[in-house]
Amino acid sequence: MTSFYLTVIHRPEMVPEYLQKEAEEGRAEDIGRSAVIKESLDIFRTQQRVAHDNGIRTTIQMTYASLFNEEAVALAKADHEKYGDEIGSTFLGIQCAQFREKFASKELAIWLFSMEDKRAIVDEVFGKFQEVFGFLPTSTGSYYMDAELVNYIKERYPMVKAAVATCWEEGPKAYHNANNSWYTLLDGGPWNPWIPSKRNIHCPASDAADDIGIVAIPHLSRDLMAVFDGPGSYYGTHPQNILRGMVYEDREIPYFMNIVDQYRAMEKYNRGYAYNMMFVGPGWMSNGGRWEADYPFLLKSYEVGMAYYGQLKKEGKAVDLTMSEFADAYRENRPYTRPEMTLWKDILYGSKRQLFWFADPWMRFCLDMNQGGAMIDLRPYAAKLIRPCGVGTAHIQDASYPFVVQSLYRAGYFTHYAGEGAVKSCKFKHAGEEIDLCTCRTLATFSEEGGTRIVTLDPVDIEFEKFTIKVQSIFRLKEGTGEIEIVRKILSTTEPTAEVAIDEYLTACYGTTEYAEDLTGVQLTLKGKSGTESIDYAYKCRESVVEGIESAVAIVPQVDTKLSMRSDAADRTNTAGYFREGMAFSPMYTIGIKKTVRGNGELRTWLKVEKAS
Amino acid sequence: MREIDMDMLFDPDKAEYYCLRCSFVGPEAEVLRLNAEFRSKYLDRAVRITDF
Repeated sequence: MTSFYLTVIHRPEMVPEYLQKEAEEGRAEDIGRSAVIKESLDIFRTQQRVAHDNGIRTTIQMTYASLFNEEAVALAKADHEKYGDEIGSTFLGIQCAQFREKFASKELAIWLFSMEDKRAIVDEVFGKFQEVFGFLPTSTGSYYMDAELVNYIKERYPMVKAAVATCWEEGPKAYHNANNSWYTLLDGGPWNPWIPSKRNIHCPASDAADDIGIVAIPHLSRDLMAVFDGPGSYYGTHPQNILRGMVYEDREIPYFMNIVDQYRAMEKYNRGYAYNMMFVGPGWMSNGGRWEADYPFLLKSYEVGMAYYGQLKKEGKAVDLTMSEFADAYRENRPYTRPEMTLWKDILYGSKRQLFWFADPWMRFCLDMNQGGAMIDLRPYAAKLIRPCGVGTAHIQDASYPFVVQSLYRAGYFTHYAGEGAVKSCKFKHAGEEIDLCTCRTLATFSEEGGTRIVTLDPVDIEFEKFTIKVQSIFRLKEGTGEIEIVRKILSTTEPTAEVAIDEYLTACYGTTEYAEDLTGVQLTLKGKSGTESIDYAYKCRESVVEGIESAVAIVPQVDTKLSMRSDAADRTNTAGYFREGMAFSPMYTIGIKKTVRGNGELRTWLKVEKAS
Repeated sequence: MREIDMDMLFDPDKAEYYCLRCSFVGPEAEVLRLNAEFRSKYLDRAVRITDF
């Protein structure tokens, strides 16, 4: 039997977003207007029908507003009886006259309320749900559910086992794309379901004691390349997103099926398991159409998607589960230490580009094969940062999990005339010439050896003025260690007597946005045969080298993270470690390990991500 | 042009769209031409890919 699981979620939203458009066009806001509610329910009914016609069961996430609508409640009950759909609850769609009366707020995002309000809203929403249905929901969700919110839900309503908990890489990129007006700043989470930590929802739990008690599901299955590079709201399994991104031709949308199939292919990297989901409300499917498309095309986009899900199910290639069913299935065979991985391939621009994504309780990172396997994103999950969001907290809207490397936000491989950008890569040097693997485009393959996952890159040629070397990079990921072994191997050279320096480096910073944060107090330390060197970051451009390096360490107190590089103990006498402090115009820190070889040779280093405190 | 997801306004007197966010102005045909140009960067927009 296949282990490709599908989850389709619908929500009967009574006051969908297009009401606001009408308000902009001169109609005063009226959140109880019956014509809107009728149309909204009609769309919900259509979505349910299309799913069922294709043999797909759904999870109906009742909005708070819909709990006051007898027709919506009756529809949910009827489809639960007839098709086995799950009736869950969502914190999207809370706004209605009753909510305004009770909470006197126009806030629409549950994670942005104060903690006091979150508790009161949870109790009100769940209480009303129980009053209407006679039981409590076992699944819930929103665009984002902070750990503090979920911890409270689990404390009061322990039966909840699943939640739509974040939207992958919906952060500054989506914010900018929405004209700096869409406050879903949620970067840094996993792209596929995970069991979150009690301390931070983005981080996979380390063990049973850290397990928050739900299985988290991302809002939509997103294109792991296009969404990382571009707007978060254009490329995913929400049909409207694809239309908004205009990824179609002659009203045909093969891209949707390409996304689904690439998610199916994730079974190759995840012990036979794969997942895909669609989560839609009614607002985008208005009879009047929207700017993205007219109604027939909106409807078609949804029908095409659901038909493909249905086809996969009929062919025995997919299993449709409700959210709570999926949570049970997921937990059946999921050790906490097991990473989620994928070697994502471009399905949009016609390149051969690949990104390798990895997430486990220690870190999330991404390797870009277009940049010779450079690490372009690194999130230190090991820190398990307690970072509440919402009114009354230090961050309010910024719910992203901090990075220490994000090459798009912080320059990456640097083409500017001054300074450095955040990236982990390797340079090869000879007689004043220097070539970074970031400039060596390649492809990768994935394999496993017991508990070690291996990403092997195709060799690349590095051309110096007078000779050429062939270099291969291998990343070895031993489960449960929080460590990445990186091998840079010179396979051949056209000048065996020439010396080549191999320089493995990590240039990093920290933050959640494009803008620099204060690095004051970051500690850079080298330990090795020739001694110990350590500085506290003060933007003074200091550098140091230690021979026979044991470890090169950066401690970033601001994100409670320790990043350390070590060399192969057997090769230690041949290696040197270094750090490099930046300046205000280049707010980065660099740690690295280097070695000089003649002819063939290799440099083997390990990068470890730990909680600093 | 689509790098920001923002509706344009239409001026019926001049039969042209204009943007509140930048200085773009143009008739519907020009908007459609630029939309097509935006799509053209997606070389695989019409390709069914099954080899993963």
